[in-house]
Amino acid sequence: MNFEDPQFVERIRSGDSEALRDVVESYLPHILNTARASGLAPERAEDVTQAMFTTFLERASEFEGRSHVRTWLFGILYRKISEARRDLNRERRSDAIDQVMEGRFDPRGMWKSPPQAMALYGGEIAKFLKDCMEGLASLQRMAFVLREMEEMDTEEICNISEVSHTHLGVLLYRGRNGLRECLEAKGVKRQ
Amino acid sequence: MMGLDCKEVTRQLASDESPVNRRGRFLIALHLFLCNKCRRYKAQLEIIGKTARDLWARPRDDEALGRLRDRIFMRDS
Repeated sequence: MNFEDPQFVERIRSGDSEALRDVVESYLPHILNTARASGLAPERAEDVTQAMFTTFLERASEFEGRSHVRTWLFGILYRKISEARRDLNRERRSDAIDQVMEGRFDPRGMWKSPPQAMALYGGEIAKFLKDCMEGLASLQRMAFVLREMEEMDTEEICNISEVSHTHLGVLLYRGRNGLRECLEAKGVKRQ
Repeated sequence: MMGLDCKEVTRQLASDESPVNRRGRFLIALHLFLCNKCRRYKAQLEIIGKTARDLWARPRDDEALGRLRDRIFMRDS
């Protein structure tokens, strides 16, 4: 199934039930996964997923095919998650992680306290990472999820979440470093 | 001199800012070749990404998917 084929776009627009079903089948696992990873409680994630696809089916006739259907779906999901998590649309001008990273380098920009080898955490890294994700600001977490788990390119994430490349860069920088620092702190404590 | 400092290299890596030209790409590659601390930093980011992907591995046979299919298409019909 080629979702970019103009004929397929036309079938979505005209409400062709087979085409609509194909879209739902192809993207349901991704959408549910993203809703879960975004930090919503399991039942909440399912409700948001259902609401997202209901909106898609209701508005399929408005789909113009200017962006990939995936971008359109994730755009709807993003707005649904924003509604479910009111804090999603706020990102602070400064974040504690910026200072932490600043302190990692000397005035010449060289490492003052270098990163540790991650093998230190062994098999427990997954459990720790889950905890550390909870500590991320929600926009940072969302950017991280779309980039690392859905493996989208930055262009698509900017379109979905309606942020500039610069803003997305800041979100990814803070999100990833927040997770790194959190993991290192947990690893150090265990020694 | 390595051209870029570690702070700038980590900023570009973590924010997915791709170098604008060949020289930029070369400088990053050169720095990573020479600097084991930044290589370790890059490895950390990769481990974190891979761990996250494994952690929320796509729920293929998840019963939630069946439940959702029912809910979505019942609404639709």
